[in-house]
Amino acid sequence: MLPALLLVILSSCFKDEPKKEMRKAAGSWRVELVTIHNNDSLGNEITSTEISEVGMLLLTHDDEFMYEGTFSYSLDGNALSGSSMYSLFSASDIWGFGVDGKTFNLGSNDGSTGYTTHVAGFTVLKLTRRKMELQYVHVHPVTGNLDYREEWLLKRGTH
Amino acid sequence: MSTSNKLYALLIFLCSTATASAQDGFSVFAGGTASRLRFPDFQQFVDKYNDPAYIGTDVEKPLSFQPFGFGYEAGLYWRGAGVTMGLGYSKTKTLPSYATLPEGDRCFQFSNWNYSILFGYHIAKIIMPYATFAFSACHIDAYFDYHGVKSYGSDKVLNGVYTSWKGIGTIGLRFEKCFGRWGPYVDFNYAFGKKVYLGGSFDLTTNSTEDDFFPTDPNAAGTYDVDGALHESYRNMRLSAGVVIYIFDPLAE
Repeated sequence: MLPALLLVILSSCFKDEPKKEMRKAAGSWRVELVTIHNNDSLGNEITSTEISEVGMLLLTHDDEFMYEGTFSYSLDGNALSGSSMYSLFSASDIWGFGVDGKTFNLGSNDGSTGYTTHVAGFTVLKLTRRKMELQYVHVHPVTGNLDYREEWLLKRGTH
Repeated sequence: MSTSNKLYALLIFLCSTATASAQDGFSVFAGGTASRLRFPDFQQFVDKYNDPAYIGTDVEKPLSFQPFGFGYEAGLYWRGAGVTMGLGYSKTKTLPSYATLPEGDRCFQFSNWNYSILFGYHIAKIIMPYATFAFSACHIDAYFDYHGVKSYGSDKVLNGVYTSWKGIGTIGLRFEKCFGRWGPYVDFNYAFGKKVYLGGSFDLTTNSTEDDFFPTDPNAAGTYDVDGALHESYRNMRLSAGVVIYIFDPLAE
């Protein structure tokens, strides 16, 4: 009896990781700092640009065990005009986490067909209930070297 | 497994031991593990990845599979008249399998978790042959390291974390020597289970085990085709060593 009961309990293992991470990430975030590192064609960093206090990002999800959510934002598009991540957020309407919470994914959902298109995947550098750091990497189209890297530092809050 | 489920499992186990007789024993153990995670189908991927038609000719170090991993385990067991029943948890991570390219390292790293229920029998207080039933999860972390900048993002097609989980069986042999309330142990076991597909990286809408499989052929990455997906077994060997603490146990008397 006991082993059977334990098996039932253990059978709930492993399936909930993206959902668990999404719950942690959901809510209101203040985008405190955006840093864009630009590299030369050999992959060496040549300049970096910091943009601070660019606005808010609100991530929401339902409780129906769907690994996706909707988001809204009030970000300063002028300040972020050189940001690829801002462009990718603009082209998306849903978000989700990959397995193990190591990727933050953006997608676009076609309501008429129900299909979801994956728009981009960011690396989650850090995620706690109070702090989130995301990284987007772009590679040089010819050399394959690191072209530029963008980091977003987000902190919990409304102001 | 959520924290609450772990607590439920622990509570149920402790309740069962509370009804045991006074001659029964209760012990906890913890130790380190060294494993060989055997993933033969990944070698097919490696061979195709290293094909110059895919990887190019300026590769500095071709991809090679690194099956050896290290980790830890912990658990508890109840013992009555030689018969032992226990719960265990173990985690193993392999050393990275990587290829070195001019722009950085293409890396793949396997990890394996087990939540197990153990049934064994102590012979002469030293040897315990046992069998377990375990829920086992396997991940492949696929990432690119641009000379220090690690990315799981969509900059490379294979990037992501791919996972599967399965019920498996293990058989093993544990040697332990009691010195009062504690004792060292050495454990060797072999896990066997059917093959499963490793899937789930970027998908936004389904659970992590169904879509976007890790491909056997790197040219097929992102095609969502299960026929070309990596199909791996859970046949792994593991050697572990650690310490048993006899909280109350006839072996300690």
